[in-house]
Amino acid sequence: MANFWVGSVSASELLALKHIGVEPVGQVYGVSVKGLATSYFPVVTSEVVGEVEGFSQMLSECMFLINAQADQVGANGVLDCKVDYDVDLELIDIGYLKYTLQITGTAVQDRDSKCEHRYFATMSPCELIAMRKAGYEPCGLAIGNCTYFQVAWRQQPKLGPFGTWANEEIKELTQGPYTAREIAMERLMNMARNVGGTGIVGVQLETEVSPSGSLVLGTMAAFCRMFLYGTAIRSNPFPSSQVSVMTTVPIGRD
Amino acid sequence: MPYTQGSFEGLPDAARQRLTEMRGGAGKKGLFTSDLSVNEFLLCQEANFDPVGLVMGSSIYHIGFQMQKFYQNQELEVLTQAMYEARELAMTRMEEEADLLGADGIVGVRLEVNRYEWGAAMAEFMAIGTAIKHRGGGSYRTLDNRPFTSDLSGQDFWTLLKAGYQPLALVMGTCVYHVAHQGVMQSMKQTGKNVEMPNYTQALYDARELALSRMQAEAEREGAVGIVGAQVRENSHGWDSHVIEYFAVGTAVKPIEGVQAVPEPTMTISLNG
Repeated sequence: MANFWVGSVSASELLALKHIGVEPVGQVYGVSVKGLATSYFPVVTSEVVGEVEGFSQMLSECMFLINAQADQVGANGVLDCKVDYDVDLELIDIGYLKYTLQITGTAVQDRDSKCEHRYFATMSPCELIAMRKAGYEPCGLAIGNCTYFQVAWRQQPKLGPFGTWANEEIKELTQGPYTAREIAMERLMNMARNVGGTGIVGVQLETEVSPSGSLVLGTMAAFCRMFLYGTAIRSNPFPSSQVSVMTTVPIGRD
Repeated sequence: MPYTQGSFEGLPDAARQRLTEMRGGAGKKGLFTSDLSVNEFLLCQEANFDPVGLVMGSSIYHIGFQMQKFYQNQELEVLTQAMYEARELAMTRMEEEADLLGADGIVGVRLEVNRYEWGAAMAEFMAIGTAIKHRGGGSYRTLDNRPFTSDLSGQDFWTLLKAGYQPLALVMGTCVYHVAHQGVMQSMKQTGKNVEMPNYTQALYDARELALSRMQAEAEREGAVGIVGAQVRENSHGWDSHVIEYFAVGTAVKPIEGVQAVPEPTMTISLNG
């Protein structure tokens, strides 16, 4: 059966896409599930390299699968990408966690794309139209990830008046998610630069701090996970027209 | 940690270096990051603002302890202070990051508090937003030269500017309050009757009023004429069931000098449902 496709685009999006010469050609999907041992030295603050390398492999596998599907339908773009990264913390006690990375999207044949390679974007079809009209185009997914093990050398909370515990910031532990974000952000930006982006829009940030037993008495320790993704964009060399913005009042109730 | 112009206390070295590099120069191409949606990004551009980077401040904080009088309505000042101070730390660090990017302000600010089961008295406070810079070099900073902050979305920000107002600061007021327990006699008297519970009513009133008046006082200090998008949220943060936090937050605004008439809205019929 020729030209049969399945996509998550709505009827109005389909109409808008046709108007700018973009044809949906199918739903594409990549998934990778791994079991990774969280190897770390529990008294040293450092990046959990095994987990980060594992993520990197999962990302490559996911992209390979989704690209293979996009090849089959002859797509040069994938819109509406959803990136879902999940770490199953239930298994943390035995030091072996289940990691799942999934990427889904709607493959399209984009007649006017100026991108040298197949682009992946988290934006919806209507957002693509607005972007293009404003003189920008998506050039790829940007993803950054880091797991950082932070140890805080801390004996006891400070005493307040009348022997109660006082308010205080736990400075060393604060540095954990901060550092994780820094490393993840650097990776996100490098990935955007590699696909020729000049900026990233719609960055989604998922953060998690989960405790870990530390071997040294009087210390606290935590795994700080940071996962970021967004769409790298750049100026389109051939802007079509200016976006007009107007204040509107919809008639009817939401 | 109050905001000090030029201070970058609390930011890791790597963050300082990365944020400086994002501005471009020294052989590296500038690159911006933002959590603005495509529509928000385009509207900010239309209003002559460019996004310059996703900024964030965080603090993991140990919240102190305060004895509560079982039968008495009272504010728990130690806890109120903790909620203020930790949010202030996160906000200040986010503003410092915006300074490093040379931004005029931050839009779409979200303030989040995460409590973890494993740290009963600890909480992680986070402030996240997108730093933006005006193309014409207009002055959008606050009275004490901080970048402006606002929890408005890109759409609301554009509409606010078109209406002739500019955001000044994300203002907040908080109050952690202990709601008194009922006495045995009072409970018995009420059995089977429709009655108002005055101590509960009074407690909620007091707590909400304290939070709102503190938010208003912050806006007045900023020289604002009003607050838009004000919300009062009730949080429990895993405390005792009689301890609640009222958290008031909104964007303080002031009129833009010499502004034109407000554009007339067009009526539209949506095709979506």
